[in-house]
Amino acid sequence: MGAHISIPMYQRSIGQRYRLAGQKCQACGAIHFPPKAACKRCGSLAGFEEVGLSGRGKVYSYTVIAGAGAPPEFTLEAACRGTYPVVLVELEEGPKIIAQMVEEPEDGVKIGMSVEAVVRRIYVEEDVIRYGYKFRPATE
Amino acid sequence: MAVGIVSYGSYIPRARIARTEYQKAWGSCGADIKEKAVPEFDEDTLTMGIEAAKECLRNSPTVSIGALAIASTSFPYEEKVMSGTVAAMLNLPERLFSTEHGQSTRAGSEAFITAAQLLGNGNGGQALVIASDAPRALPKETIEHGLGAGAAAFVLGTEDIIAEIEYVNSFISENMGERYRLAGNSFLSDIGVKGFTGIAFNELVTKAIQDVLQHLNRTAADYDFLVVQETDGKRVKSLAKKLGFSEEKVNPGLLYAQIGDTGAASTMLSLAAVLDEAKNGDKILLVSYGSGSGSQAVSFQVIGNPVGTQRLSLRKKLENKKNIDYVQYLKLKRQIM
Repeated sequence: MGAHISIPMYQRSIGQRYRLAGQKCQACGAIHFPPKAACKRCGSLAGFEEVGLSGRGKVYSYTVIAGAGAPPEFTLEAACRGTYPVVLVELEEGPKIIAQMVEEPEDGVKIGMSVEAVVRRIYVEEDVIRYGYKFRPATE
Repeated sequence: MAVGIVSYGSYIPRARIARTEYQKAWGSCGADIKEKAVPEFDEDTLTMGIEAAKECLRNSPTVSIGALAIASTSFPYEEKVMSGTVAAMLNLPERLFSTEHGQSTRAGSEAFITAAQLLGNGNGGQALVIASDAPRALPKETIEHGLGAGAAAFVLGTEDIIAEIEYVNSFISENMGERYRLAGNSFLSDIGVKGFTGIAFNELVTKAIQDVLQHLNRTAADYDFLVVQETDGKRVKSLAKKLGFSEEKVNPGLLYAQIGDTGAASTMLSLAAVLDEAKNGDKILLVSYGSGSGSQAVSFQVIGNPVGTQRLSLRKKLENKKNIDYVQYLKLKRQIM
């Protein structure tokens, strides 16, 4: 059973998924991704302004999806790639986020390696292409 | 008002399939490629175009973009405002004059020229052009062997120009049976008569070039670079020779042997490769071709030294690759999935 995300739900989050739109607390300046209702650091409800995150960061931890471990919406991709890594990345701006890794090094993912976000097709459901971010090794 | 290129970017997917893989699978390879670029399973013409655009926009704010023109013969959706997706991904303003081009491989230059003319008419400070393509045909068709992938993007503007657009033209004529796709088909067809299509190509490209030379009162010798749509590995070279353009002027733009036929992105990628090498004062002549048929020419004068030393040239990017075999290729093309 996959984690079905309806089209309206996906649509509401395209700022995050398409361009890593984060939020900056207007009270203390903390940066959050994905958006929160209240600031995680100071608890303020003062509101947030949208900030575009750089997508650059370092691998904080990772796992490798293998065998039949992929959720159903990723079955085809798993069959094509064999195994694929999923990384927890600590972004330059602070937030930690999870995504697939592409173009991984031949000798495997390393904790601490520099990565950058890239827009890819995540999966197709209900005949609608779901785009979003993945990570790859930093190019510079 | 002078309009020209302000910055440019390009993207070539990393996966490559070599000619020898086709020879192993089919006994021969029907295209003059050494290897060609293949999109990954999770890439399409939209994601490739976004990569090229991001490189192009790296050092420039997007708020002054007032026009967006995108081109591909293989958009991920046949009907949908694709420029809306592009704008959401690049955080472009919503008030944007956008056009989408995709009826033939000439679409790249159509987008480029349209964007330039929108700027000339005063629609916003800068325009973004994205040409991205990964044409498809069934594996059993010879035309499939040469089909590659890639994307290029340009910011056009009226200030801080690195290559000014001097003149543009367009020619069309009726040529049946040459590389086409009927409504509802995902895969290209071709009646397979190379000589016939070669004649149409030569005629229309020659007309476009001669019109530029005549209009600007120049000869082939006045140009430093010639970029022509690469439909195979031979036509451009032999036609350029016939028209008096030396090899040194043609070679910098030739990409077919390494990445294959990139359709609507072909001339735009070659232009990016040529700009990497161009110097102040150089003149560039670009001619696109779309089967069925049409051609368009754009003449450029390089102003300043466009080469960005802080980033990889297109030729350098080609070295970042990963070879795949024919079975993996069929998987990536979703032929056996």
